[in-house]
Amino acid sequence: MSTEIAWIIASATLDTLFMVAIAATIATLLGLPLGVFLATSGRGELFASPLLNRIIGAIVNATRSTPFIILVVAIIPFTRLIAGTSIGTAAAVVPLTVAATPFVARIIEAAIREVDHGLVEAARAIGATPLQIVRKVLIPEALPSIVLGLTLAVVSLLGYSAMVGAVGGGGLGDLGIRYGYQRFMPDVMAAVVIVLIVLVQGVQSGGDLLARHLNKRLPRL
Amino acid sequence: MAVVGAEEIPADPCQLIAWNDVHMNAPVRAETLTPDTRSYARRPIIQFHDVSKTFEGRGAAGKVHALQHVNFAVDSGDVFGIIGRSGAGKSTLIRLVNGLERPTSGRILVGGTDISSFTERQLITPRRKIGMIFQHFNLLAMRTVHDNVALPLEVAGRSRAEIAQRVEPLLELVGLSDKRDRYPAELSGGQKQRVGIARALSTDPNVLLCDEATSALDPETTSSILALLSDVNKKLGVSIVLITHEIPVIQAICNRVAVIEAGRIVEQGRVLDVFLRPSHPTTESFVGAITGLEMPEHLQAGLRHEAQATSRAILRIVASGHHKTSALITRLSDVAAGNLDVLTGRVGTISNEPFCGLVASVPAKVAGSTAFNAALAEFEAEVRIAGYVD
Repeated sequence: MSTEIAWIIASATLDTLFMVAIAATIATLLGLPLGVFLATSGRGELFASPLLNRIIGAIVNATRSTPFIILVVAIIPFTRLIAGTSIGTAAAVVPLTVAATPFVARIIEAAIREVDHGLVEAARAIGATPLQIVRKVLIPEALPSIVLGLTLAVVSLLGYSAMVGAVGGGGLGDLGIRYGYQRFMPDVMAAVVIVLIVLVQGVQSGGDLLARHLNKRLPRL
Repeated sequence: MAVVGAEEIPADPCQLIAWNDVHMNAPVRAETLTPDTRSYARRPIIQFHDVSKTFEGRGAAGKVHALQHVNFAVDSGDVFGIIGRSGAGKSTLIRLVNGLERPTSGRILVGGTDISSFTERQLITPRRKIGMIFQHFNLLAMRTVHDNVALPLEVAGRSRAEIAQRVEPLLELVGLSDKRDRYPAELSGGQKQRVGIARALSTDPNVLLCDEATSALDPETTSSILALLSDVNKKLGVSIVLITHEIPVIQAICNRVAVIEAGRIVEQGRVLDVFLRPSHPTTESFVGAITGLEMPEHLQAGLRHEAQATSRAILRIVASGHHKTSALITRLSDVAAGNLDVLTGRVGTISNEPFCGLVASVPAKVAGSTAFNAALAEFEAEVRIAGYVD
């Protein structure tokens, strides 16, 4: 493999990391409040608002059931509005974020629903406001699960990012298709797959480690 | 009541100690020597007026009447126990006090304020004056012991310095100073409940609600937690409302008790009165083992209402106060010319007051005699004839 190819792989890796990092960050920022709302707005819950809960739930489900490659094409006008263009790595961040946000929201919702209801009761009993209950009880108690869920989301994003080559987004997936597949360069394909495996392994191990470090439910040895 | 005649035994535990000292010739305790400046005026701190709670069931389940026409008052300084079997409604009842559940009808006064129509937001302030502990502790697993105790103070917007100043003495009070940086997962059940108590006390509440606080603990740990609660009541003057299905808990620390069955309070009063003179079958079944007045089963079956010439009367004898049980038995036996059988009984203390409960039999004609009743009166004992056996 020539140095040139090595450089291309390195640059594609950076592109992938860039897209995934930005998309994951924005998706977390948007998905966290969304997930908290979904987990706390059912009938008789902290911010009870069953109708809005159902509407947002439906939107989340609709987004999640659209195949990613179709979503990418379908929201091109929206992408153009946000990024100024619909082509390129920066523009690819938009569909990645749109796809990841509802995913993250559901992950956060599930993590928060796992928190023992007795803790919410105890927090109400000490005179905590609903917002304080979210900030001081629900999110901190769900944090290890949230971290594991976000790890899962990042791994999924790595997979999604391979598809944005379709709209001119760069990254490892695009490289694999254009060099490895279309130009019959199996060594490039192999390199791309190896880099992806290493990335996924790295993200997963990092997430596991962080979640374990944060989790205080098991006694220290 | 035979024991005290016209004079009422004080319900307040602190007064009770003083009362015991005067009336029972016990050695004077140190704490009665220093004048206590707290006010013992019996002012109600919690009042339930005709409170009902109905849960709207879904579909075929229909409505569940969890509580019906509940009336009671907890006075400042009381340790008020509510006892009932599971499903009797006691959990709903205690959760009404701080608004975790809302009543369907009736009024709930806390410190004189009617909170029954308060919104969740309006309840925030009164809740900070009502501590609560739980059967399963409900500690935050991701916070250290110190930070768990600090939570109510954080929530109330106290400064960091204030929090530090408040938490340390509380940890000392519950005996967990050395665990301040530990997480709940590293503590035993008893230690967790101590953290719960410290947390509940951090905002300096007037009332502490205990929701089956010892039901998940072993007997030894239960005693130590009860001792701590009693301390909290006496030293800090915090009134306590507790619910339990375990009668020993009531016996150990309560001065007043309410018995709840199928959503209704069937009996309430001073613990000693309710225990020794139960008027409801549920109460009787709860207290029988403690007071020694439980009728042995084989006897119960053979009891008759009418006395024959040769019948023996089965008596339930209750004495509370400073008299010696052995002296009472000797005296009664003398009057009955040795013809007294003690069938079962119990000697002990309830709310720090000694009592004895006996089930005994004497010939029917002795039971009706003036001499026998005079002897009982001598010991300020009460007697009820449960029936006759041949």
